Formats: sequence, C-alpha cells, structure tokens
Amino acid sequence: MVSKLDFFIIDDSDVNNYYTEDLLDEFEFTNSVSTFLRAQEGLTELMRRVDENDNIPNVILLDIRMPEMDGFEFIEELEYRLEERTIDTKIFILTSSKHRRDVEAFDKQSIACEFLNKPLNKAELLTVLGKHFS
Amino acid sequence: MRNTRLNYTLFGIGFGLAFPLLAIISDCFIFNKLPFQFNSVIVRIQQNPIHYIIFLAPFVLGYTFFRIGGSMASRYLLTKRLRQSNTALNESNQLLDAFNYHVSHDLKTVLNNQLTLAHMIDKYVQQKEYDRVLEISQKLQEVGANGLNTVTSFLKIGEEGFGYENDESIPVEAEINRIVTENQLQNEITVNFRKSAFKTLVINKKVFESILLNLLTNAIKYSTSPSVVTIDLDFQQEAKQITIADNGIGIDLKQVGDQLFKPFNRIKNNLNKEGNGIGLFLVKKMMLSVNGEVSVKSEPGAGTTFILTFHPKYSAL
Repeated sequence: MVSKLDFFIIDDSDVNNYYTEDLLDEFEFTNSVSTFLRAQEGLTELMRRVDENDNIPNVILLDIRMPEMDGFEFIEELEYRLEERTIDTKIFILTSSKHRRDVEAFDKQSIACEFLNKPLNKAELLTVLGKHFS
Repeated sequence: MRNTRLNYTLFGIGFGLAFPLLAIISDCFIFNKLPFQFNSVIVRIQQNPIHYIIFLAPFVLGYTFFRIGGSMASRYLLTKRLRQSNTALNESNQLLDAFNYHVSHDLKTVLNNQLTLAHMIDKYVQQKEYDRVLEISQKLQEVGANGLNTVTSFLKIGEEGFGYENDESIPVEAEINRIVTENQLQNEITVNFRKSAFKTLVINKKVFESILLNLLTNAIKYSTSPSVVTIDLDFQQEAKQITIADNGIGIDLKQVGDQLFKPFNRIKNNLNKEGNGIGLFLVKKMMLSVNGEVSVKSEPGAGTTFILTFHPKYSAL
C-alpha cells in the first residue's frame, strides 16, 4: 500500500453501509470513510473535492440499484461533469445481483474498474485493493 | 371486417349474374346469330327454357357466398380475439418476469442484510464488544420488519383481480363517485364527467376500484394545483373506453418510453414524491386481467390522460 486511502460509499442500503463502514474501519490503511445514501449527494461532494482539489477519495464503492440516480447514471453524470479532466479515483461497483443488464452496462463504461458482490467479502476486497494500490 | 359478409354476398351475386349474361350473349348472338336487339333476347329465352334455370345462378351463388362470408367474418373475429388475448398474455408474462426479478432481488437484499448482520454479531461477540452487538441486533430487527413489510405488500398484489366470477354490472359514474367519497378524496380531487356514451360496465368491483384509486391518487400526488380530473365514457368500436384526464405535472413520455408501466420503475419527478413503483404496474396487470388495455398520453406541464379500454369478454375463448 502506498499510503492511506480515503473511501466513499454510495449506497441506499443503510445496513450495507453499516457493514461496509465497519469492514473498512478494520483496515489500517483506511484514512476516512464517507457514506452517502443518495448518489446525487455523493456526486456533489465528489465534485466539490475535485474542484477544490481537497482530499479526493481514492476509492468509491458504488451501488447500482438506487432510487432517483442509479450507479450507472452516477458514472455518466461524473464523466460529463469531469469534461476533459481525469481523476485517480477507482470506482468499484457493488451489486447484489449480477444481472445481465448490469454486466452489459458495466462493460460499456470505462470509469468503474471492478464489479464486486454484496455483501463485500473481506478477502476479495483486499485482493482488489492490492491490485490497484500496491 | 364488419362488411365481410356483405362483400362476399355482393361478389356471389355479381359472379352469379355473369352466368345468365354469358348464356344469353352466346345463345343469341354467337350460336344463333340473331340481330343485336333486345327482342332477340326475349325470343331466345322463350325458346330455350334452360335460361330460366341459369337465371337462378345469382340467387344460388349470392346465398352460397352469403354463407361463406358469414363464416369468414366469424373466423376473422376469432383470429382477432386470439391475437388480442395472445398479446395480453405476452405482456402479462413480461410483466410477471420483471415482477419476479424484482421480488427476488428485494428478498435477496433482506436475506443478505440479515446474513451480513449475523456475521457482524459473531465478530463483536468474539471481541466482547456487547454494546456493538446490541446495536447490530437492533438493526437486525429493523431488517426483519422491513422484510415482512415487503413480503406483505407482494402478497397484497397477488390478491388483486383475476377471474370473471365476481363480475357484476356497475354504474360507472356512481361507482367512481363512491370510490372518491369512500376513500375520503373528495377534498383533494374534483371529478367531472363529460361524455357518457355508456352507463354501466361489467367488471369485478374490487378490481375497478383498485384501478381507479391508483389513477386518482396519482392525479392528486402529481399535481401542484388543486387536482381536477375529467372523465369521458365512450366507445372505441365494440370496446368501452374510460378516459381520465388530470391537470397534474404531466410526464415526459419521450424520456420515459415504455418504462411507465413496468414494476419498480419510478419516474423522476420535480415534486420529489416517494412511491414504491408498483401502482401503474398494478393498473396494467389488472387491466390485462379483465381483457383490457391501458395507455397514456401526456406532456410535461400539460397533465396526463390515462385511457382504459375494456374489450368485451369472450366466454368462448
């Protein structure tokens, strides 16, 4: 691990966030965890941090099925708002169902790099984090 | 379609007329080379009684084709009805597929949550952090209660509609007024009846109430001003049609496409109204179950019109 990591969790499931936060808190390399129940709120906070170059999260754990703005809409909107800019943030999709439609949508986009099952498996998360941050 | 029988009969008579016409022309002017005048025709007919028999051809063929036309017409109608019910079954099947997927998804979420929390309890019991265990146990109870609510609402959906055995003839306008008052909506919505081409509808009363209640509460919910709906009762060919037009915020149908009636698809709206995404799915499902259809016309800011079409029920099918 290069340094400590900042996490965003964007998921409308309270219980899942409770669990994921708890899991991330176990890791020594976790610097901060911010949780958002609505994708829109997560996006606003992310763009604020990007614009002010203030503590941009290293990892976003993003749920797909959310009311109002879903995970893929979040990605679309993020791409649009970033315009020409790029960020180093890794987006991991969190899903409880690997539905065909979701897998297709995942394959079509380039921002999110991992597709993880809910509830997050500690070993799997560590492997994926190791892949991107070692 | 309606003129099938008439068309067949006219063709039969026309075809039948060709026989005496050809017989007279050939008998008078070709075989016997009589002068080309009306009198020759009279003479030949009197001399050759076969013509009287040939004169029967338009009647015989007319009647034959009248019968054929009749059976063709009923065959067309049958095919049409079969196609209708086939389309309805297909749609209903797709809806059920989507519904099934979402129900499973929701239940999976509940069970996943329970499992996750149970694992966490394990972890904190081992660490002897009992305050945490208590907190998790609270959450576990919430998850259980939510799960129960979810299942209960799904069970309720299963109870709606189906079967014509509870059908009765209901006076539509009076029934709609009753639904409004009995559900205490009279202060929230004004219902105006405009056209009334028919008075009664044969339908399961509970299904009708459920459909109307869904549409009326939607009209109230998605409106910024006092809600007013205008209802027309009219015929669309042999089907009865109830058109319900509201003065609400409207829907951008270009954006929404065919998602409107699919389960759990909530359409974004400026009013940030909450809902479970089941209402219009239920309306569609119930309309299909009574051999009907539902369609929608709307524009943002210009209100929404729902068109309920009730096809006659064919017991033969």
